[in-house]
Amino acid sequence: MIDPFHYFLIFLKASLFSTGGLSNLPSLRQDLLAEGWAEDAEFGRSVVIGQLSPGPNGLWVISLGYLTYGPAGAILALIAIVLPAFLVLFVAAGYARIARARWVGGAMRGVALAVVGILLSVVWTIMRQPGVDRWGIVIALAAFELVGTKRVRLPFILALAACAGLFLYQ
Amino acid sequence: MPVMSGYWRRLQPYRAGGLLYCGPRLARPTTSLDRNHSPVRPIRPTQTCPPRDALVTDHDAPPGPWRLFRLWAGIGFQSFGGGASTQFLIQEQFTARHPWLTPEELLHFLSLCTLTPGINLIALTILIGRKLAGVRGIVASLAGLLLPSAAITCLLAALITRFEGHPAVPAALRGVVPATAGAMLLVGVNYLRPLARTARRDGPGALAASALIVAGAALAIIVLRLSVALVVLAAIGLGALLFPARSLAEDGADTVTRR
Repeated sequence: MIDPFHYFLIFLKASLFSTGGLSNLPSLRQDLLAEGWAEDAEFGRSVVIGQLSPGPNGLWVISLGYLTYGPAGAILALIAIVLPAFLVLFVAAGYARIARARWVGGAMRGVALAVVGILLSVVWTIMRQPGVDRWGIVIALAAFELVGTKRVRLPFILALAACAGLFLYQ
Repeated sequence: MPVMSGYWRRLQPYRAGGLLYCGPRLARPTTSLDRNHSPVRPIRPTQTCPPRDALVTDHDAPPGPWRLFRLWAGIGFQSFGGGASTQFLIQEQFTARHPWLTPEELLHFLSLCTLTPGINLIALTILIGRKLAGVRGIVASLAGLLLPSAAITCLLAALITRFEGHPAVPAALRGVVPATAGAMLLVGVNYLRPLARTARRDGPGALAASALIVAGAALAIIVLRLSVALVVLAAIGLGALLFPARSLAEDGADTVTRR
């Protein structure tokens, strides 16, 4: 029998020590399997659902909550990933306190540049996923060009890419 | 980046004071902006402002909570393919389609979110919502982003056994996944532009330092598989060491032009 409070704490802990995406998977997997509250197959399914559904990748835990504990699990998982995000208000307040210090401008410029580097590394990570081959590079470049024209909306481009995938790989 | 063309330079007064001026309703002080010492100066009508009715439309007025909710719900519904699509749609909606944030400011928010544990994009939603409509903006933005996505996620979870073995699902995903990489690349390039402009202005040393940090961060994650937290810590140190000491608040004053 699942103890809702403990279940919520497991999700909250995983969310606190992650930075988005699938980085909270190992922690959740270890804790939920140890309690016997999830099966291995449910993790694979949740990751697939997370990819299919819109929104940040981190929302895959909502499907994990739904699969393991029904609607209540989905709601608990949603609360567990939203709560830690409010810490950003403390970070912003802390930044405002030190913003006038002369070294902070350079430091934040460094962080901003690193964030761009991290975003670019995500491009690489996505392209290294299993199933992405040479045609994937063509699709990525075509999407980059189409998105850059600002004439075609993103969902339409993604639908085109899905059709290309069906045509190429099925 | 090409030297400013004459046409572009003539457009600048309109860009600095005009396009960013968002109509009478923005006359209320943007307090949350000031409190944060955001790199962008508050938006105020200036002498160079062109005739109001020529530029000011309700489209550009700052959004109320209900409009924010609808905008974020649009992002929540359309961002198939995960975080890359969400990043792209946020950048498109809040810096390009509506002049509510500059790319610099959005990148500054994203930097603060990267310094925070948890899912960055949810934290980013909180900061954008707060800047545009205060506490009610936070609630409206979070609900808008998360409710549609969560509902679709639950629906798919309930139906997964129906389509699990179907070969069309992985085939379509193999097309969508690289397309999101293309969108992500554009997001990175859009953020890089204002940073590169500032670095060029500061001289070759700053330009080299900037290139070092961007490439170093990407390679540290790809090749060395370092954690994001470590990379960000290193970037704080490098940035404070390599860049001229100057607070972002002063720095933002002359980089306010939009793209």
